[in-house]
Amino acid sequence: MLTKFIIAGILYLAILIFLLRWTRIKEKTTSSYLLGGGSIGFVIGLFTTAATLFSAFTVVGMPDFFRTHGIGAWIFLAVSDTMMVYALIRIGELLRKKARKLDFKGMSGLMVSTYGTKLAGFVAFGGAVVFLVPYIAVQISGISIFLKAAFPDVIPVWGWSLIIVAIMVIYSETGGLRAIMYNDTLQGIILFITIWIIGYKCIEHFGSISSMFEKVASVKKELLSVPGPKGLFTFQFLLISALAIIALPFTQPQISTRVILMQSSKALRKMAIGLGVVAILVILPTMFMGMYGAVLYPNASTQEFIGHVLLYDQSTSIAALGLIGLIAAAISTSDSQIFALGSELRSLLSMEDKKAIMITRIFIAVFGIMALVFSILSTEHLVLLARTSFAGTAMMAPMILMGILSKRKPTALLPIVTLVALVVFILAKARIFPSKILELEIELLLFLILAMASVLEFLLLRKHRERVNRD
Amino acid sequence: MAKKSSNRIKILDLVALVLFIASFSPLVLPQNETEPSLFSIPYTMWMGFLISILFVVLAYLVSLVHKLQKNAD
Repeated sequence: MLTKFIIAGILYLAILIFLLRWTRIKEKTTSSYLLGGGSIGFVIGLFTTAATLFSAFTVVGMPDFFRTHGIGAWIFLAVSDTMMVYALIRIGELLRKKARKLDFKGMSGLMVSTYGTKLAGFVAFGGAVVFLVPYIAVQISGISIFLKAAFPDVIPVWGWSLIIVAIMVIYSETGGLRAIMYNDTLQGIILFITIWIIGYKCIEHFGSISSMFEKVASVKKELLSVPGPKGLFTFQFLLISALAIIALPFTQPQISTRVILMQSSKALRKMAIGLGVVAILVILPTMFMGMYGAVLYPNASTQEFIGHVLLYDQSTSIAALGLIGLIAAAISTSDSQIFALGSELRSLLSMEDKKAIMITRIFIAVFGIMALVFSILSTEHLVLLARTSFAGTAMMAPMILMGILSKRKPTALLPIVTLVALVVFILAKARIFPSKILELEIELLLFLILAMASVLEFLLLRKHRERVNRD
Repeated sequence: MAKKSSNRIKILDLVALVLFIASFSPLVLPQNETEPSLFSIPYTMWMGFLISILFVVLAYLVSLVHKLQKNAD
């Protein structure tokens, strides 16, 4: 398999180099380099957003999540993703209007403009860095550990991480957002084909979908209902996850940038609906893989199970394609996230464009190095860390949505409450603060407090408007 | 015309909200219950799948109404 993997790897690198040359930008400006020229069509928009959303986390994490916790994983991700699509169409258009009016460079800069205080921008930027860097890191480490298991005695885990980060940083530094979006499209196609081939083979093993579920029922019936064998999928867990995922297009800068850069409102609407369909089509085969693992490898570790389902139980050609798909997934999602952090930083800098771009490019490399260091140190479970990242950035949703939806400048109330909520959330994750208060998960409690602060802000704005109208 | 599309959006939002609430209720998430199954597919799975499809359909319908409204272009 090593030979086929090397051939596929060289081919993948050759395509990346071709894409880099094709999208090469001579004069790097905020518009051409960070915003990809400012206009994305429906097809590229769909693939780049899907690839940013469905990454190594989906391909490696979700089959294992289905295998361990059962079909509640469908509600956790697929149902939440389709809810997100509805929210994207409803609010995406308003975000685009606001962004066009205020010369969008990044969500943090947009928050500074809408709130009229730098605090809002720093909260948005800080939240993005704190919750995205560990998420990027865990994807890189997950794939690196897997590659090490696939090819023992070839390269150490940190070596694989270094290779992935190096490709990612060089690619982002050279090509900018447009090159990243083309890579996303390539990755999306590879991954989609691979997981459907593997998913189909998993069903084929049982003969049909019905017999697959019958077999799972005979092995562990708890997998076929909620809360699952380990009791993970409680009402609170699923609700928090849904709220966090619905907020993604507005709280994770790599996604909001793509929403804003869509060529037209029509393209945005088509992209959003396409995203809903893709979500169902991508998560479905991971469910087949998970059920296959629940029957054949119920007690295996995550790495052993993924090793079997993606590699050892497949022909060498599919296994090589699967490996390249995984590396591509890790690179395309992570470079989008690192690049988005760079764009967020740029949106906070008020200086000559050339100098700001230079600083941004330095920081893209710095964020890459941070992710590399974290990836060598991190041991967290992929899906649960992704959820922490989603929930963490979701704390910023009320502040961001108020900024987008409000016609007037809101007060600094929401940026302050959001900052406190983020600190409490981090302390709870570090086990310094309780993770539950009166049976209520801390995330839910913080969402409630943020919702109350939003209502208060809304009332303040209304009172102000009435006073202005009276005068 | 504007009032008509605004009413349509309100109705779609209401349907989406009801569906959202139902998604986390015992109607979709009965504890430790796999029946009534559909072609051996457990209840929460096929119901969850149906809800996913319904949200995509709702998204499509709301996009049709949005098409008639003033946009950012």
